[in-house]
Amino acid sequence: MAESTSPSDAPVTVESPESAPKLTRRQATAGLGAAAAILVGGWFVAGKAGLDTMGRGGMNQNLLPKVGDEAPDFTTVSLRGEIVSLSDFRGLQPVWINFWGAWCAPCRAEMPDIQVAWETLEPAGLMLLAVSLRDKPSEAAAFATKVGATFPILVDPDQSLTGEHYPIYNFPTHIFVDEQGIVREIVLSPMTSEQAIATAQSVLA
Amino acid sequence: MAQATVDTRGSRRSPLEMVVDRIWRFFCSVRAAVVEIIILAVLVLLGTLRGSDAPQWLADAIPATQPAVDWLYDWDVFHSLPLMLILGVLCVAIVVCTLNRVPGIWKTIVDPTIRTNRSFLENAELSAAYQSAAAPAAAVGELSESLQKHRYRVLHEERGADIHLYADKNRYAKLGTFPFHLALILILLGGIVGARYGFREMTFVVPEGSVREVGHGTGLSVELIQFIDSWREEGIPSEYRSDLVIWKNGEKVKEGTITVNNPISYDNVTFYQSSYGQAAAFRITDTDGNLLFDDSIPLGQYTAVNNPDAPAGLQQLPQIGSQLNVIGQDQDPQNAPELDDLQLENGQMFLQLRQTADDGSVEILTGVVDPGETIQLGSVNIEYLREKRFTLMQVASNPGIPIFFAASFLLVAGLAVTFYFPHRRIRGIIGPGSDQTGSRVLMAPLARWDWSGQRDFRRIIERIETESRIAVTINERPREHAASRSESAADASE
Amino acid sequence: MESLVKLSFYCFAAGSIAVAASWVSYVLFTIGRVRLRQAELQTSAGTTVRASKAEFAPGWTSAGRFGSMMAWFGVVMMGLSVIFRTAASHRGPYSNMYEFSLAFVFVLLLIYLLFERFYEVKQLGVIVLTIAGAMCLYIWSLPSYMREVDALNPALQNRPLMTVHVSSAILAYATFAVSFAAAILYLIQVRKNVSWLPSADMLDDIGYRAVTVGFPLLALVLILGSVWAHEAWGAYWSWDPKETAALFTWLVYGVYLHTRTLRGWRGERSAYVLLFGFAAVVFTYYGNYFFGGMHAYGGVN
Repeated sequence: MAESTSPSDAPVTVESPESAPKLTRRQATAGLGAAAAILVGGWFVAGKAGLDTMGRGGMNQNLLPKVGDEAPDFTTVSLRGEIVSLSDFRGLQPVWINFWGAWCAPCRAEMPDIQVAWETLEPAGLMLLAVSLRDKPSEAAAFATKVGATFPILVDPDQSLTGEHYPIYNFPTHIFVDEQGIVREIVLSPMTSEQAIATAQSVLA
Repeated sequence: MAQATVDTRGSRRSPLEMVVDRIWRFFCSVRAAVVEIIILAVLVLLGTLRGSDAPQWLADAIPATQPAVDWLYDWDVFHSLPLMLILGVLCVAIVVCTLNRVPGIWKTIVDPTIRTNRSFLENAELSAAYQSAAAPAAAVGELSESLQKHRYRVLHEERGADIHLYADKNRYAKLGTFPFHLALILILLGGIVGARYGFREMTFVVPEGSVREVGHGTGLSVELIQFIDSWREEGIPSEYRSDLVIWKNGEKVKEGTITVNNPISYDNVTFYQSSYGQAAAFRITDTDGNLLFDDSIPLGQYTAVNNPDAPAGLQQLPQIGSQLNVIGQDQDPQNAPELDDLQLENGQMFLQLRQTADDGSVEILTGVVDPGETIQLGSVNIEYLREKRFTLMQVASNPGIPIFFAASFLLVAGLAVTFYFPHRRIRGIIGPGSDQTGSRVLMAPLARWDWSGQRDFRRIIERIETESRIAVTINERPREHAASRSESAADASE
Repeated sequence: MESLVKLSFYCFAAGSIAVAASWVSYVLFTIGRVRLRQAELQTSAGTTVRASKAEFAPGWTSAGRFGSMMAWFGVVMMGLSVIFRTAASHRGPYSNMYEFSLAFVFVLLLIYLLFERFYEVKQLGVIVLTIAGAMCLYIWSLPSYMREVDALNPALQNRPLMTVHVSSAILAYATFAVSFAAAILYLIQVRKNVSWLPSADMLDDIGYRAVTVGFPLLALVLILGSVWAHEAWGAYWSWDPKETAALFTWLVYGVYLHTRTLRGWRGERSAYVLLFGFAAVVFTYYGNYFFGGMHAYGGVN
């Protein structure tokens, strides 16, 4: 298309050879072959880099039991020295498990609300197990007395008794289990007494 | 502009006029604009580096630079006079430049010069010529039709035996540069309006169940119904939420929920979720049973002198000329026993009542109180009801925001129009053919230094060639690259 | 979820190999010509520039073509990787440097290939694929926990706005990378007058066109960032270091756009401004590593 008038024109003519000929069959075959080889090689490389173990981290971690699953059992001790298992209540009562700690300010702040909810829910047939974690039992007991908590308080200072099935990373955590031992609701935030009562009603029904 | 025309026409110019002229030309100059933007960029770079550790690395590598680095860290570039000055100069330059260029550009759009000459076309970097069997007038018609198919506007006028032709497309896109540049000024204006007529409260704290006044003459107060922080099971926060009620002069005007990134507004005052913390609810009465205080005190806004890690709060009790200081439990077990001298148990509060007597003497009474307990300090009974939580919001009213949004739209739209719809121009002369039959067409794009423009022209010519089945000669006169380095485009001419 | 994250990573691994293969091909394509040219000069010393036609040995044209094919294949793989990851995370690629860089490689290759098609030149590929390859190495060097999809803290959860903000940033950076490649070749061309490179005018034009795409996009990035800051913090501009670094970059390209109309600056000096602009882009891109402030997320702290 261009008239070559001077030597410095050369770059213009240089551009044409690339656009001119069509893809040859050999080139196309080589491309497809290389693509296939890369697909296989990618599998190998990704495997070496740990493809098998991927995908379970971050937000895909499974820590707590899921809603609708059977609540895994745990056995621990109450402040009064009784040995309590979650399975003790199966078939008898729905259970509200509250994982808390006297060291945790939001947990302490919601304790009066929990007490109010308990006073309403206990007559309705609900069991509340407040499991104190990472606390000295004496400190948990002292705080419970101060706020006038009348519900059963269980202790597991190093999370060794509940940690296997209930690895708790945020406090407070509320888990509502129905009479059949099925997890119905998990609340990962503090609750007011109204919220707690409303949530528990759904488990009681 | 009026100024400039007077200056150029004036036969005898006073020194003042000459100064004005010089200043005017300084602000019109692209070269000065480049220097101004470079200065602004350097200031912005310095300010950016100041926010990083990079200058310290330099000082660590070359100790001699330490004083300069310290000076940089001390210098608040973004609120400094040089930055304000250069922004001011740029604004003036933009205004002057705009006033200077609008008439010329407007003329190119509505009333461009059609007339050209052969030597200009022949000496263009790229030009095209062909013979047409039709007479000049008919040839112009055909050519116009082809160009119009490519969205060109075609103008022509007769000059003797020749017809001069001017064709362009996207001519209005040339105006895009003005909204863009004016948007820059508007953004600064928005910032000034916001700073002058708005306010921004960084820490607006409301405990659960409490009402706090916004102030700043808004007459608004905010009640926090509850604060809820939701978390994911792996311990990552998923939402911070405050349920609010907004009151105006004692009347409930709005209820709403804010989360991070989802503020609510009333009366141009906007509430943003920012943070949260613990609070403690107290009920304070004097010995006669008069209620002095029944509210929550947020903890963590202050720190105790002895124990900086313990959350603390304070509350004035003006009725009795006192101040109540509250210190909560130190959450860091490593501080005990040296730093954590209070050794509070979970949920306990340390209270300190500073009573200023009429003679100015200060009496300090202290005590530790458990939840649900009442303690008597001097003449008051303090009942510690329970622990609560507070939400920390930012409150802002920024009347500059509408200006900013309008400017943003102008800015992006202006840029997009300028760059994505380049103004393309073609000039041509259609004259009688050499043997007095048909006509000879000579055309050139105004596309010096403009590879894409030239390519567009080539494509149009190719289309004309195939559609009209005529042979077009393309003539190229490449610039010498060596020469292009020193002497360059005549920017004004295009 | 789990399988989508895996699939995304696998596509990235395959894409990386494709990028490597493409890089090798583009290098062979460009280097191969130089050799041929020298051979030609030794045999017929008299004809200097006319001899350039002999440079196009079919083998090396194939190398260029193979490079393009591999780059397209890389685009597909990287694109799938980004899509699978988006499907797994339900948001744009902005939670950490792994995701962000992955999307950047995809967009960089895509933008480059569009420029390659539009201008019908392949020589830019050597530089662009070098950048893409370096980015792949960088992604591989990131700690492996970043390959997992993480939950976002509340401050980053404004999804549509964040996605557009970050996508515009990626697009802008990619176009600036192309203009950087064009500026390097332009400077080589202007100084050495190399016959196997595209004409200086074309390279100048590529650099300019890329900036005209990138400059409005970077403006959009700054504006959307401001809008978002306004919604999250109540202030649309807070002189955060990453904000100001982006503003600095934008100003540098603003200088470039003005110098192009300026006598004595146009050409070589403009090209140097482009090199400097890309340095600013790199500075902004990796700014998280040395800035504090609101952008200090992305798992680099």
